[in-house]
Amino acid sequence: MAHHHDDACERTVRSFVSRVGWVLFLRWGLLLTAGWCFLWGTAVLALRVVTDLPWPVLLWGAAGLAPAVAGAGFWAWRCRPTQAAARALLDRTSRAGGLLMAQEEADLRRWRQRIPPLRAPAVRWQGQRQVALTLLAALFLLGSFLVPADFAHQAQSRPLNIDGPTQQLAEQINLLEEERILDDQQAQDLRQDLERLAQQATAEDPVKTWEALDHLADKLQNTASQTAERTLRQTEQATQSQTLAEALAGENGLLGEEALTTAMAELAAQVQQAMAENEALSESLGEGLREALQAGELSPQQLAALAQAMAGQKLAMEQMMARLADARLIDEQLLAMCKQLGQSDSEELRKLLAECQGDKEALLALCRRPGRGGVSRGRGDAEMIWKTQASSEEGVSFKEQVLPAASLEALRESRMVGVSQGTPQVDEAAGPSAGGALQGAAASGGSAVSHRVLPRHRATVQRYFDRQQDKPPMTTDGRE
Amino acid sequence: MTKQNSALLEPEELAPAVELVSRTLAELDAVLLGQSDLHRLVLAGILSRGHILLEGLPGVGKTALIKALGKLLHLAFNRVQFTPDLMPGDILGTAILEQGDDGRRAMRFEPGPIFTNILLADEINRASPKTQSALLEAMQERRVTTLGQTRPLPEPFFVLASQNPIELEGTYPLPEAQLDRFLFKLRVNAVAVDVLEQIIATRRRGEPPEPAWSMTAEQLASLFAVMDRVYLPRAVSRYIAHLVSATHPETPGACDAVRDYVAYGTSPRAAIAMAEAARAVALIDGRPTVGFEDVKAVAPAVLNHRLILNYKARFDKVDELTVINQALASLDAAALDLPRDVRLDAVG
Repeated sequence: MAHHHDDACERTVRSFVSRVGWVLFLRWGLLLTAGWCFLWGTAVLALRVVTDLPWPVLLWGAAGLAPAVAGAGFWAWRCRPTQAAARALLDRTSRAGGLLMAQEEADLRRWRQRIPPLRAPAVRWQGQRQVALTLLAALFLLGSFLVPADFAHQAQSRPLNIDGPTQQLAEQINLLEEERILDDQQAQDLRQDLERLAQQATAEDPVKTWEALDHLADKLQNTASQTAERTLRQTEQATQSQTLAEALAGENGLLGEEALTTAMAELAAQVQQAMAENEALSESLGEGLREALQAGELSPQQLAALAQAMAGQKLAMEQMMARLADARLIDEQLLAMCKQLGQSDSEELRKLLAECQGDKEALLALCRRPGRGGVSRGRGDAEMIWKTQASSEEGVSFKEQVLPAASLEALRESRMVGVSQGTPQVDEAAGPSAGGALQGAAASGGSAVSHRVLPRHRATVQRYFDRQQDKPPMTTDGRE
Repeated sequence: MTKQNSALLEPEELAPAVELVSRTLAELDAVLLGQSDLHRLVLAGILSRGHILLEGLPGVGKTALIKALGKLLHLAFNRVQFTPDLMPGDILGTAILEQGDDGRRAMRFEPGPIFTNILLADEINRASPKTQSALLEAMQERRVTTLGQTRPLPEPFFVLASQNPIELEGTYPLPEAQLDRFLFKLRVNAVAVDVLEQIIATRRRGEPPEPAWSMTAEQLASLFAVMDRVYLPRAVSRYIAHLVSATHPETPGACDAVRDYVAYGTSPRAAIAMAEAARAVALIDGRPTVGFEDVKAVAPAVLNHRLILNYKARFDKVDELTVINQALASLDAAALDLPRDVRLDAVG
């Protein structure tokens, strides 16, 4: 019976230790599982961003749970209470008075029956925090698997958004193609370059992308600028021809036959040259007008038609320049220049032609006279006009300048000491004047020392100069 | 060095001892009314062969208790009233020049009042430190050395001292070294009103009755023999050691009260005293083994005079008992070392 009692006590003690052990296992298990889930989830996210591993492969991370559980078991086994400690606790809770503890160490003999029924306390674990942590870890792990692939790859590839600049460049290419500044092949090549740029643009190296875009934009702008320069020249030529044509169309017998013939020939040459550069002009003139130009004989109606055609060409070129300016391919100033170059005064030219009809050279010069393009640019081969007459000084005066008040005051208080007859000479050997008011003054000869005299000293200084005034002025050679 | 007997006391061995103890307590309770708990601790101190310091107001029965105890235990009893002019020789004894029958003169040692079983040192804190220190050797080693000669004291030997807590002028507080030699410091409180009424009604001039019974020397010796065989489990020893260690503020497991208010903790002598006193309490309760409750029952009496508190305790009016109770509450007797979130429900 004693043996049974001992066994019962042993069972109770072991049961208590076992219960505590399981609670500790559960506690450590949840903690380590939560830790492993966080690590696993982080690894899954990293692998999905960097690589393209399929998700079944990533599930192999579950193999880490086994060591976590094993670790929990190990820690629970280490931290579980010893048999002696459990006995001590049960001795205390059962009020055995030390008998249960002594049972392990000494021979209780008949005191075994005196051991009261053992009352083991219930083991409570306040594990809300650990459970919440484990749930959070599980959610994090689940989220790492469920995050969309696009998001993961977007995080990897990180494209660069250059829609705005590419749109602008595409519009510029379209405009240059429409205006026939770029041919179809060139425009196609540029579009392909732009498309490739848009596809390859990544956030990892934005500098390259922006440099490529800038290079493309510069190329388009250079093309447009060259076209604008050519257009300005053509506009000037068109203005020149239009002005001459209008002048000749309305000459009404002012010009002699020879002058008229010369002017016609010059006009024909200018128009031929313009047609050579501008196919559209050649098409707009018509067959009859072209023949007349070749013959060098144009009727007033033909001249008027020619002037109108030139005006039409100028307008088309101005419109093209405006479109290029709107597309920011050329500067607005070029457009303004184009408009200014397009201005003509045929009436003045007619008068000049009438005046110079006896001088063939002057006549030709007038025929080649450029439009009123202003003096800021002007043609490089424009004739230089020199005026031989010097400008008159009538009405010219020196600019008046008000002296500062201090200078006026100094002049007002100054006294003439004397007038030297010789020219002032600079004595380089002389050192600077020293002492008193002359301290710091430059070497003798022509330097004025400016020193402010205090009010209380003015009377003294004035008396000094008054005494000096009694004496006759001295000459430089010391003679009075 | 004594070794614990692996065989516990048999019930028939323990029963007579328990009977003797119970009867002694009953007689004490009959002689001195209203101090049952005090009588238990005093008897536990006697059974532990320790010295006891009684502190209480005048007239609460300190001297009467000790006298009654002496009569009950059939032990020789001497009383010494400690005064400031008391000399060590007045306690230990002195040499007297004596002339024999043959006319020869020789020095003869006249033993002092200390040569007894129970020495009542009344108002021990009124004697000078020199006189107080005369008791040191006697209390610790139960012998006296005078004039170069060591003389053993009678067995058993107990010093039961008393002191008045309110008269501090002209007193010499006992040094820590001497306080440490007392097993217990017990506070003798005034009795309850109904007890006082009973005293007045039943006793003329408050004189206690004579005990109806007294223990023989053999019985006392048997009690001590039984005491030696009361078993102290290792877990209880560990608990006592941890408890004494926890009274030191630098110990990692010390509670807040110890860290804040204790300047110096208790010595290993306190652990030994606690073990012996716990055995005595177990014997009084009729058990052959010591449990955690026995330690908790004697811990305040054993530790309260050994703790040295700091000035912060004075400012916050915290006494030794408060600190000891907090230390007891914070220490896990079973030492399970479970995590904080794993709790054990109290058993109803």
